[in-house]
Amino acid sequence: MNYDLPPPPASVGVSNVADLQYRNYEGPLISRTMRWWIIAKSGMQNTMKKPAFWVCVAFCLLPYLIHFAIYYFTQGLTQQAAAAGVGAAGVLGAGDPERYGQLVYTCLCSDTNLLSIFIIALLIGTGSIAADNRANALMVYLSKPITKGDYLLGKWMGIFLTLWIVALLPCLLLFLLLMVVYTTDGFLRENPTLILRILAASVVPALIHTSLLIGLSAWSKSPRLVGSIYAGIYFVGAILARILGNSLYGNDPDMNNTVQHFSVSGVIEGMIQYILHITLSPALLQKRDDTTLAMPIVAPLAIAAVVLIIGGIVAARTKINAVEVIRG
Amino acid sequence: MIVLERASRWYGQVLGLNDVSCTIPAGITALLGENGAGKSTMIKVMTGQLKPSAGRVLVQGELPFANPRVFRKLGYCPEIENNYDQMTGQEFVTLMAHLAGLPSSTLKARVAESIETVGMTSAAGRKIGGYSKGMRQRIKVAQGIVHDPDVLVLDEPLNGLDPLGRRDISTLLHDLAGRGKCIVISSHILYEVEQLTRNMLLMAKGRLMAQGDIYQIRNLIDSHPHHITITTDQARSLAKHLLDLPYILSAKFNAQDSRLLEVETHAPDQFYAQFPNIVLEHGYNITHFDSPDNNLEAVFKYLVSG
Repeated sequence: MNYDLPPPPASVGVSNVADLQYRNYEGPLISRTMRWWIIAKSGMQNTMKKPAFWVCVAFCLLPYLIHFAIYYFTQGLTQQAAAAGVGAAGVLGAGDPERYGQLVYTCLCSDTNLLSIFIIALLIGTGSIAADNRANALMVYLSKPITKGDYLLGKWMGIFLTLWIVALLPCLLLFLLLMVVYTTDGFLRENPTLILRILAASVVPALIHTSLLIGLSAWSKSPRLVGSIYAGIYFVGAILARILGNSLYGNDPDMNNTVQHFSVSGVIEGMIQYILHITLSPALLQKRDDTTLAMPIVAPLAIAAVVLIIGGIVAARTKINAVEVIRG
Repeated sequence: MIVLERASRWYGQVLGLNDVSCTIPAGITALLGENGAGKSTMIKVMTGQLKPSAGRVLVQGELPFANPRVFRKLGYCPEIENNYDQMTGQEFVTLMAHLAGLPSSTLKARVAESIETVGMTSAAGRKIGGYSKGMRQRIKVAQGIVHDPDVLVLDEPLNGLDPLGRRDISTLLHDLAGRGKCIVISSHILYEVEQLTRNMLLMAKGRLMAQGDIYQIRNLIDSHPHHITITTDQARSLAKHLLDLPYILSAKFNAQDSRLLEVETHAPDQFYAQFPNIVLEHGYNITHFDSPDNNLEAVFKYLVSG
């Protein structure tokens, strides 16, 4: 009888006791040119682990999926209309050059979509720096070979890229659908810049939410407090702007429209409308009469948007320090 | 090596660090002081997170403030508790290794090595939120050593560790010190520090009160008599002989135990040299010999209260 044991597998060490002795690292240390990306990637990976994030993404996609279904089922009608000489215009609004842009606006600025993006922004933005402040974790980050700028850019990009993708992905789906269904009716020929407009328009909510939340988060140690303040600014600001517009410029529709956009949500919607270059039709406004809403005056809106973005980033940059210095 | 040259740091009118000059060599050095003594400020200045208001600090020959070149050689374990709870230990150390500049090719192996060194391999896949305090300490140490720094600064590294954990971390720190690393440990638990090193920096009110070997420091404190307790059946006879020595200040009998003799001297070295001769010459049976002043706590108390 052979009692010899088989040789141990290669992975098993000679000793049963682990060698816990410290071992020097002989490899290289590299200087990364994109050190911020490590922080951004880590932030995004953490976001992906949150079930609430995926629920919000699903809500963002919902309107587009509905549109997808509608177009899929009306494709037969479109072909019949085309055969009858009516074309795609018969379905989307005959002769309206803005019809595709309006469609993108409907999806990007729908209540569901704006709210979902807002909630995702709260979910990932409120604690981005506040949680680090609370735990003095900045001391850990900033003891590594990265600068404050790397840290801020990493945190900012982690939120921005996530929000942008969430806003952009459904728009791209819609664009693809329109391209598939209406290319033969001249969709691409009529709308050569629509894809660029979609890319730019979907950046707006991501830019503004990210910058403001980063700015607020850097000044706090409580993510919940940041969330409450931002929700207050977002919703109360919109109501106040509406009241202000109606009370100050009740007889001047252009100014009324512009002033009503002076809130976070108003700036986002106004800039998206401007980038898509559309007048909001009665259908979009859910009005039964012929009321349309022209584009708001862009200069003050653009200035407001820039102030919100730069203000948020500067506020964060001012506050980000490894050590909070309290002066006596 | 860390060098502070007349380094001061003030916060408005509050002086955090006051004209501190010292050299911290390779090996383990303990930074001691009460709350508000300036330990944290000194650590933050050394780790480049605060800029000294006056004077300068050099870490491995370079100014550390906001200097990524220094951060590359620096490992830092601050005293933080509740962060990265959503990450696993493995993810946390990997993130820190990435930030420290470890290339992807060697990163995974090195992270595993560091985690193994602190004895956390079996728990590395669990979320930090579920870790005990001791496990958090270990994983923090792992992120501090993952890039094999020349200088390691640890803020209260033994807090929350069980005896086995303390032994493991102490062994690791001694191992690192033996490899020529410069290790600074801030602590308020003097007993623990005493087990780790004899090299101290004692701080109070932002100033560096004393530095160097704890026993040398003790010997320099002439104004405070050195206390020695001796237990023997012949306490009275021994007291008589000891009081003949010129450097013995007093000899007192303990009220509860007549065998216990408490001696005060201002020249402990001479006393320790002479005492065995006296014992042998007169055949005293010494059952216990102790000096409560020969520990860090006593020195610290003398210095701070003095």
